[in-house]
Amino acid sequence: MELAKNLRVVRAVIVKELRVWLRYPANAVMTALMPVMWLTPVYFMGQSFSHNGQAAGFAAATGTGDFMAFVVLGGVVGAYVRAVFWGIGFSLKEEMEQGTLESLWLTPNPRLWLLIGRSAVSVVIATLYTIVVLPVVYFLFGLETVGNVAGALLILVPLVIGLYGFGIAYAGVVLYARDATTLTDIGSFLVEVVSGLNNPITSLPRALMVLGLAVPITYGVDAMRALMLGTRPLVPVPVSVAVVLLSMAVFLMLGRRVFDRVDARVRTMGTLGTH
Amino acid sequence: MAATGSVAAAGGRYGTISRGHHWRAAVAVFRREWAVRLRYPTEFVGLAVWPVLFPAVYVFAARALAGPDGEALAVFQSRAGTADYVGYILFGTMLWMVLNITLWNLGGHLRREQVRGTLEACWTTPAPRIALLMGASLAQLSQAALYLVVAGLTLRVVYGFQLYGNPALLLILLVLSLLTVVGLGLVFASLVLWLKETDSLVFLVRGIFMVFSGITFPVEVLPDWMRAVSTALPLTYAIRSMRAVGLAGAGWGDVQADAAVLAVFAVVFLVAGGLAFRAVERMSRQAGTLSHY
Repeated sequence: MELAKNLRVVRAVIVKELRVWLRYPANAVMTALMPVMWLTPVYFMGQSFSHNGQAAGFAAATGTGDFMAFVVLGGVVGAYVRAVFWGIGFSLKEEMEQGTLESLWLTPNPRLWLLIGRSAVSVVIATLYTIVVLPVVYFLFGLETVGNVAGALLILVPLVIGLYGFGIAYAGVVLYARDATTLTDIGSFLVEVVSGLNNPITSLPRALMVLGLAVPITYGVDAMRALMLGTRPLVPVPVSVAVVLLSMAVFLMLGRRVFDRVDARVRTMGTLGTH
Repeated sequence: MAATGSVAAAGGRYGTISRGHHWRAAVAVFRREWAVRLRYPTEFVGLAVWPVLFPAVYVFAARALAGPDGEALAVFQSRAGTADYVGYILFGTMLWMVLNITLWNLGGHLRREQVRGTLEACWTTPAPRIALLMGASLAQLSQAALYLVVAGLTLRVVYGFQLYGNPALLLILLVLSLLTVVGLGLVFASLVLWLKETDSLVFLVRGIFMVFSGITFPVEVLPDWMRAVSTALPLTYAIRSMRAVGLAGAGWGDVQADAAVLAVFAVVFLVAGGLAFRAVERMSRQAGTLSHY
């Protein structure tokens, strides 16, 4: 019974969020175009290092000469990273600014389930974008290497679930910090850089590489590339899979605990309506 | 206040408005914009971090593309004219970031005022409206200059970024580039006020510059039709000429054609910005939509 009630809350949040998203079609279209705009300079940068279509330097560094497939695969994971930071964490800040957060928090609905609804919308939208963008990217940039797609997807699923566990904890941070625009912007970008979504982490300076090795996304995307593109993995694929599964369990548990504690603290401070 | 010369009155019932009034209004907006900016100190964290973080994506990808033993460096050098791919990328990303910041700050200036409900209040005062926009433009110019100074310092420390060319020539090209970007921001501000949409317009315009201006690659690798588009964008000339001077030590003779094109772009955009503002101002007052959003 309790679960049925909570699922009703999730459904209501999903309907509301999708309605708001569809109310601004220009934004939705531009968000779909953005990956193409970000990838185009990367593609031509790859071309400026390639001779007769061969990226010899990149092949020596990673084990694959298909630079674009390497970047696009990282971009798929990057879409979920951005969705977590902006779609879950930062959207609470937007609710604060619009003055609706306090009203929502005052209803008897469990706040964690409000966030789960928000996360569900975020997953759906990020997945929709990926499904729309991938064929466009394939057509424009002509990706060549496609290996074990099913294996890569099996790694992507726990990776995304773990990311959303982190997102719930991050929502707590946003509630506490209030002015979280810079934190969100820099945080999401930094995670993308250190976890090697656009470049192999072996090309990072040592300090950033150490940071990257502490982020589970690094192992997930590395294993996905090894399976699909045949790149040289940082660690054996089963080890990466174990790291992803373990981090999923930890982030799910940690996400809930951090959010509950910050939520209780913020209600004591009475700062929900201020920003 | 002693008038230094009469100009066309912005509002007849308030009498003649002097250049001194224009200046005072512009300075007031300049100070207010800085006061607002200083009110959000976390944005200054971004000021120090973004010049380093934004190019990181491209710099580290380029490092991998060059290969562990520089296998592909010769290919890049044959196309870009330099093997210094880090400096090459930093020039492009720095100028693109200035454009990006200008579009958000100056381009979104009028729209933000409209959303906050202060646009109508400001425009119904006797202060000349063009002077209010000039104040915002000056604030943006100073913020862009600050960004570039901070970027220059941090990039030197983090990436070992070094300039080789004539600093005076670089400064001339930089001023021409900034005037062009501010002019573009003015046109953009009016467009945003008219269409009542900031985010997607910023995404579109900055995306066009990102794709076609060669921020991370030489435009010579683009297909013909894309290269034709790149010649219509001022950032292409700004990036190319500043790279030539800053990385290869090119002289005035090498970049004067690009400088001339930039000067033309600056004049055209600044005049177009003024005209667009007048047109939108007239339209908004006639339609009574100043407070609509």
